[in-house]
Amino acid sequence: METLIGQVAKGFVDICHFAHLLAIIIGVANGIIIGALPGLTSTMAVAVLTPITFAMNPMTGISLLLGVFCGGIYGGSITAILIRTPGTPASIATVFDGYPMAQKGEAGRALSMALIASFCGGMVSAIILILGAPQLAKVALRFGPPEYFGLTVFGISVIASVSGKRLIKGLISGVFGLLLSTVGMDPVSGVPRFTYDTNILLSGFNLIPVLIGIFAASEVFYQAVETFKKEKNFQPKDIPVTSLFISLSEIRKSGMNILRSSLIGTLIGVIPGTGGGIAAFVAYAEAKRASKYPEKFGTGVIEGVAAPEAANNATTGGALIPMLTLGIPGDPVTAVLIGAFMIQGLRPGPLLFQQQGHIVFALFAGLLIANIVMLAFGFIGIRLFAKIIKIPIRILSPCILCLCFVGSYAVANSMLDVAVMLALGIVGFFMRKHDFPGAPIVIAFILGPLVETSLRQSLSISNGSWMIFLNNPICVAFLIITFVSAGISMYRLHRD
Amino acid sequence: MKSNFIISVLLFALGLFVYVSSYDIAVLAVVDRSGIINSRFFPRLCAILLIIFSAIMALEDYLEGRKRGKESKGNVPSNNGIIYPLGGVSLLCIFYLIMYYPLGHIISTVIFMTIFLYFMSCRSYYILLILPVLLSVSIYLLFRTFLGVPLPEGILGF
Repeated sequence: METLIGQVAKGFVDICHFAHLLAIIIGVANGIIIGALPGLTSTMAVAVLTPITFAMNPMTGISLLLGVFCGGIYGGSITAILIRTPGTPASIATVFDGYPMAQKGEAGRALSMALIASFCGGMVSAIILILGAPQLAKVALRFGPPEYFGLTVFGISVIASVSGKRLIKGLISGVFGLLLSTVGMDPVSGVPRFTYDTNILLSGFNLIPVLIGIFAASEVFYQAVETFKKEKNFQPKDIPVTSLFISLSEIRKSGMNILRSSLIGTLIGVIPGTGGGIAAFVAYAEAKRASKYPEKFGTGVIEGVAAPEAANNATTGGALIPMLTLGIPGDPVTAVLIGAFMIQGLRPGPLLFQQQGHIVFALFAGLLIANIVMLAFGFIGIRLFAKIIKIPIRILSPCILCLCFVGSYAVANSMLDVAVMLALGIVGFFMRKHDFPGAPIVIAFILGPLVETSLRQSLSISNGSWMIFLNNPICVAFLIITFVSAGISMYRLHRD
Repeated sequence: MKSNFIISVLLFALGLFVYVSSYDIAVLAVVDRSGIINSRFFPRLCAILLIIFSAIMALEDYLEGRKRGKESKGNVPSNNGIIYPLGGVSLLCIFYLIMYYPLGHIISTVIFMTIFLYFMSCRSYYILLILPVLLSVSIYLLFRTFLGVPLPEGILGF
């Protein structure tokens, strides 16, 4: 233990160099900006800035990228709260309560809580990364197809929590999302499905246009139509921003929720192939399950912002664990980071700790500092961000639509993505008119391929025997939690 | 509710269509050793779930309608007055979609935003003239110059 403390202390001494700290500050600022732009994910933020690090000292370059990683995940929550447009897929769950809070004039409180929860999530995961990286990596490596199946089914059960008043409508939305995810090449055998002999649908629908369409474009259509219907010479709805910051007692009340969500985020982040989106959904569902007033979730409760934000930022440290200890990239961001490490002459894996341990511990310290910098930038920016809500809808609407177009196009330089976004925007508008929730579509769309792949791989391993799921303790545990969690949600819906 | 019943019928039809279409999906027996769990399995499962859920929704609405009687008519979401604004906004977006590539990002965005703002009853000449130009140029510079994300150049050629 003394050795570990000594190594961490030396890491802090190494990272406290002007160039490294400046790199972290620049990285976090860029990450927040890029993460807040719809269509640009934290993966893209890291990828865009990687070439800049080639000429830098390894520690400076990697510090910059870690700053971008942290800032990018947090940045996604800003637009999710203010304009119902998640900047990154990791912030989708933040929309559920963040946007209603902004509509009630509590944008500042929502942004503050998102920031504090993100900071806590990032710090908890960084500390776990320092203390238990090798042990956690071993557990994560034991995850095979049946365990993934259990985890993803548990993730899908979140649909029950975000279905609103009528569960059946949430389930229909979820099935629609699953159907959308089946378009394109079959993830297991590569057979084209529903492509109608065209090449443009072979790779399926991209996630970003789907989420922008369902959340952002549909909201713009809705607001535009509502505004137009009310009166032609309308006065924009004046949403007062009542308070910018949250009190210490509110932070204390959410303490357990943030800690639980941070642990969930770190653990899910460790598992390769998951990521911030799934972690945020699971943490949201758990926060709702544990709450004394679960029926209020989705109407703008602060715990509904704290849980996903703590969890998605906690995946940053979690995702670094298999990457640094085993050389396995757990998600797209760490895949890009591995490339950046290798260009700098650092080969992630078990030998990294032995051969260049001082750099690893300096980077751990850098991750902690990046979270502190993110907190500082967030607090400085909250006043500015909250002003967006004061812009009249008639002016904000075309600006958001323009960002929706560019964000969808930027994913793959394809007009098909823009058309998909637009079509789903109109679908989302009618869904909202008829009380169908949009969130289950996106949840199912993300988890659908994972569920299908893990299910079919498991059954291939067992030669078609479904007992493989019941013979696996981790899978059984996930399935039990899923049924209990879904049962409680259904009971509460029925009771209310 | 009549609108919910129509939606249920449409979803039911979509489920049937997906199920029938799944017969066109090829099956690779070498990869899918487990038999029924092949490339068709998941779309079919989704189609069956959609059929079941839409039937349940129709049944729920029927039972609720019977229970509430005439009261239920008051809960029908009104579609009155949405055709003109939604049609206008959708047409503008389709125009933007069609013109985005040939005209390029800057010109198409300026035209789209100016018309959209006017359509939304914005009559301030400062906003109508300055905001579209400012926004389209700043987005172009941010994405293309700083982030290296190519946006359509169109007829301007830059």
